[in-house]
Amino acid sequence: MTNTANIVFQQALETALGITEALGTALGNEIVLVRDLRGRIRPVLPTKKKKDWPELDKYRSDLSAQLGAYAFDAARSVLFRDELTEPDVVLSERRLLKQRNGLSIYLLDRQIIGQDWMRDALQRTTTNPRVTFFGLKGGVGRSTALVNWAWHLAEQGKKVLVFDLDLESPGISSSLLPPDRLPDYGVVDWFVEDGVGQAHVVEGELLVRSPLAQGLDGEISVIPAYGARTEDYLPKLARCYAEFSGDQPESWAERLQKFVERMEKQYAPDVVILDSRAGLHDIAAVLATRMEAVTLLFAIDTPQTWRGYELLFKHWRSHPHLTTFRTNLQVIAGMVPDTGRDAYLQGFKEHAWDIFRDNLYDVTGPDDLDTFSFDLDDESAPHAPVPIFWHRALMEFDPSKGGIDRKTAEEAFSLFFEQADRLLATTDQD
Amino acid sequence: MLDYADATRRHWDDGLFLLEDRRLANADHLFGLAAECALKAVMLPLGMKLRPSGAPEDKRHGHIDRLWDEFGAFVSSRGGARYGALLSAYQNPFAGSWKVDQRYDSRSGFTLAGVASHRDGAQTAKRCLDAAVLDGVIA
Repeated sequence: MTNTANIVFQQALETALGITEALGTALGNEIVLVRDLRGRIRPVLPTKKKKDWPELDKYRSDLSAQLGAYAFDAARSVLFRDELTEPDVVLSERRLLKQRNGLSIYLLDRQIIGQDWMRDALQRTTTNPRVTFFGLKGGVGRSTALVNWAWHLAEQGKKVLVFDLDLESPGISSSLLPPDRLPDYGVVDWFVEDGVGQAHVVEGELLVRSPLAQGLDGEISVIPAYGARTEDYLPKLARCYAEFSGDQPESWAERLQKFVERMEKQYAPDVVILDSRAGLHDIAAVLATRMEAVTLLFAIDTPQTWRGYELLFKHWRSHPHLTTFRTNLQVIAGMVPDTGRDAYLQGFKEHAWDIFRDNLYDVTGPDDLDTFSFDLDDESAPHAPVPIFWHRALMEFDPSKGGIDRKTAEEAFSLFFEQADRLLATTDQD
Repeated sequence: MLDYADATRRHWDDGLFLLEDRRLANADHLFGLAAECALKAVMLPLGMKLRPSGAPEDKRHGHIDRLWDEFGAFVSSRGGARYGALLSAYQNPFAGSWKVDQRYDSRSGFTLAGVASHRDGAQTAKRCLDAAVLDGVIA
């Protein structure tokens, strides 16, 4: 028997599940375990049928006694469906945990930040391709790759629009814009003003052309995280993720989609590049799972990197729309060392394959067709690393002094550009 | 014993019962009280202070015709913006059309449309209550 004084977050759910399973159908056929904002568990039961109900009393006291700090008092340790105004609406986001002997047990996870990324792709009316640059950590060459690919696209005559959505550590803007070229406002201003229903006030002052693309056939425009007149960055950042727009409740993902789409309509870009917030957080994951974007997953071959991605992929494994967005994923090997490249990339590929195979690929037999599954050495696989080679010149790269020299770009990025261009062409056709 | 959540339920259930029988005046009265109790049930665990008598300390936290508009500001400053957002999408349906003193009024002044709008308002307030219960803000 576990000492209830030591029950921690994940044990609470396991324990509640165990107690509930042991009930069988004594209290009904469907029980929803609600995990509240702090992680406490309280089941919602079907309508109460009897006044004296020993099974119910036992269930209540078991929950209260065994969940430790994650329990409610016995008197309030369960809810009934008919206590809720619209049970079908509020319970609709439950997901099935277990089904056995006629009893279905669900989880409804109430979180402080909504589980936006678990939902379906957002509707959009614009058709330009979007590419998300995603990384778990900084320092893997994500920003440099983004800047250089944007430049490469502009060189081909494309209109590129870059959003700096790494609001916690904005960086892309400073690589693409010298401080005296910032627009008046940035992403945080849009979210704050949209919160009071007047995003239009700043919408015309968010976007500015990067001087980096001067002299090229195309152009690069940037929407930075903050602008020259943003001022209170931190107080604004703290309000950015609110889930309302004006007087309407609206999820952060929907607000982001609205923002990106409105700017796309204003600017009509050929390509949109979204620089994602680094990390596992919900907000970063929205960009990979709901924006219909090709997602480049930047990584370096270290155990910490793969453990991080494994956590994320494990979570994605149960995503209801996994089959839609997993085809858009591509691993990028950032900063591949200049010695022992082949051995490095081989190790990288094996580690990437392990977590893709275990979490995102289908399990198949040898004759299965149309499944999402790849061999270790399949070069078209999402896990097959597209390398960006470490280059001394990249460390010294100063965008304010113009584009990168052709020789360095060729050496460091040729394979990356090739693959990124190919992915772009594929989405453009869709 | 003070129990805003339980009081919400009885006012709501009884309001529906009376409305079914077209007893509009008291149905209307109860929907206003149900909405008030639902919002106060959310405000109490977020820090609404009460006097020893049980009435809220802040005079703005009285009946629903005024409380509805105060709710958003109060909960938003106490980590409950998500509940405020559920309500702020709607114009206060009680302002100018519901007063607790109407309990002294003649039955002739109540219309089905008016009562239905107060029922919908109470339902919206109950949605905030549900959200706070599921979140564990209300035990």
